[in-house]
Amino acid sequence: MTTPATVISAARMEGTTAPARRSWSLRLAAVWIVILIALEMLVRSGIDTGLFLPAPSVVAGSLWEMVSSGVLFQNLSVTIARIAGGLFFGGTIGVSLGLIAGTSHRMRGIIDPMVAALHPIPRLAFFPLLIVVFGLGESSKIAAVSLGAFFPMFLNTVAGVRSMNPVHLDLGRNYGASGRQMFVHVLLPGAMPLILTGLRLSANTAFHGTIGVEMVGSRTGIGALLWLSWQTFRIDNLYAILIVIAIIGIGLAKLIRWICDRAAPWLVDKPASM
Amino acid sequence: MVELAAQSTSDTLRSSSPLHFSCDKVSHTFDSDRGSVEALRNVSFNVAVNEFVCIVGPSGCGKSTLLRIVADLENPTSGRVTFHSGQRPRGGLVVQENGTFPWMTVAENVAFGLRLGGMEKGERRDRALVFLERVGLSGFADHYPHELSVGMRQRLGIGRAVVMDAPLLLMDEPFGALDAQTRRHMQSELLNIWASDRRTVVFVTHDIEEAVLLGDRVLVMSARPASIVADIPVTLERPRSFSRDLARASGIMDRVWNILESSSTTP
Repeated sequence: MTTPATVISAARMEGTTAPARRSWSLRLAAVWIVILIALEMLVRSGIDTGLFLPAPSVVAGSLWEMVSSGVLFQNLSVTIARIAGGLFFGGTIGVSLGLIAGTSHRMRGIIDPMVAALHPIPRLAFFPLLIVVFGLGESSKIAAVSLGAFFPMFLNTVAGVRSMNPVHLDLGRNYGASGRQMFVHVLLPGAMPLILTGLRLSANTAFHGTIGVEMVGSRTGIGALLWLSWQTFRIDNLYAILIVIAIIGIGLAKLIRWICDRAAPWLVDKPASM
Repeated sequence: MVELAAQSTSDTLRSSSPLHFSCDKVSHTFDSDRGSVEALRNVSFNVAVNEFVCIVGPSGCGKSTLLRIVADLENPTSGRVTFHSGQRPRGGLVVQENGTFPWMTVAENVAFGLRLGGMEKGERRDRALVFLERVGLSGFADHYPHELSVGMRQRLGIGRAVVMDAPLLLMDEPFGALDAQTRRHMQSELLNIWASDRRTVVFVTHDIEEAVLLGDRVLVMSARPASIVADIPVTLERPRSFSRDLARASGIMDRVWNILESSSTTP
C-alpha cells in the first residue's frame, strides 16, 4: 500500500532542488562577469575600435541615460500595451474560434479553409493592408499583433479539443452533464494543456510581432527606438535596447509560466510520461 | 411498471426480484468509409434488480458496444433497451483505463456526479470523503490522479460511480489493466461494496474466472457479429470466498470455455 507521503516525494523528485538552482545561477553570473570584463579590456586596450562592439561600460551608460531621461519607460509602456492588446484580442478570438471549430463539424468546414489560406502568409505582410483598413494610429498596430497571436492560439485550441480522450466525454454524458457543464467541467479543462501551449506560442508571436511592427511603422515603442538607434548610428544604444528586449522576453515568459501554473494546477510537477 | 416487466417473459428470469432492464433484439452496425461492420446481432437479455451479471466474450466481439448502448452513449441500429423502473439512470459507468479526470483532484473526481446534480460544495466534499474511505483512498483527497497508481485510479473510478445513488453500475473491464494480485484484491473489494450497498451490476470482462467468481449469471457472447450464446447461472453461494470457490467454480468455468470455443469458429 502506497502512502500519501511516498507518492508526494516521488512527484517532487522530478523537480530540481533549491540549492542546485542557486549554484547554477552563481555559475551563470560568473561566466557573464568574465565575458563583460574581457570585452571591456578588449575595447580599452584598443584592439577593438568600439564601433561594432562598444565597451560594456559605454552600453551601461547609454542604458542609464535612457532610463534617467524617461525615454525608456515611456516607450516600454507603449510596447507592453501593444503586446498585451495583441495577445488579448488575438488570443481571445483564437480560443473562441478554436473551441467552435473543434466541437462543430459544420463550423470547422467554414473556418478551416480561411485559416489555411491565411496561415502561410508572413504576418508582417498584412501590416500595409491593416494600415489601409485601420489607419495609421494604434489600432492598425494592435490588429497586426493580434493577427500573429491568433494563429497559434487557434491551431492549438482546435488540436486540444480534438485530442481529448473520448472516454471523458462519455463519462460526462453518462453522469448527466448539461451542455454548459460539459463545456466547463470536461471540454475546456480537457483541452487546457494545448490551449496553454497556444498561449505560450501566441505570447511569443505577439512579442516578436510588436517589435517588428514598431520597427517598420511606428515612431514610438522599443522597436522604433531600436530602429532610430541604427539610423542615427548610436551603436551603444542599439546594444542597450537589445538588452531591454531580452529582459522583456524573459519577463513575458515568466508571466506566461505563472498564468499556466494557475490555469492548470494539475500539470504542475506532472511527470512527462502521462 | 413492475407488473408490465414481469409480463415480458424470459427464460433467463429465475429470480423473484423485479426486472431492472431488458435488451430486446439489439443489433448494431458501425458504418465507416471502408464498409460497415456488424457488431451486435439480436442481443436479448433481462437483468433483474440488484443482480450481478457478467458478460464474457472474445475480445473485439462488441461487449463494450453493448454496454455503451445500455448506457445510452450509442443508439442501437435496431432493437431497444427498456428500463422498467421508468427512466434510464444517471451515472454508474466505470471504464477500463484513464477514466479519471486528470484536471480534478481525487475528491473532485469522486464528487463529479454530485456536482453536476447541483449538490452544494461542502456537502459533496463530505460525501466524497466518506466514499473515498470506502474505496480505500482516504488521505488522497487532494491529490491529482497522476499521483496515484493504476489500481488506485481504478478504485477512484469505482468510488465516483458508487457515490451517486445510481442503481445500475455499468463496468467495462474495470480491472483489465491490473496485475493479478491487485486484480484479486479489487474483485473482493467490489463484492464488499456491492454486498453492503446492493445495486444492479453489469460487468463486462474477457476473464472467465473473474466472471464466474463475481457474477450471479454469466452471459457468453460469440465472436462478431456477437449474440448471446449462453446464459449460465453461477450457483456459488454468497458471500463469495475466492479460496473456497475457486475449486467449485472450475466446473462452471469449463462450461463457459467450451461454449466460447465452439461459438468462435471464425479465426
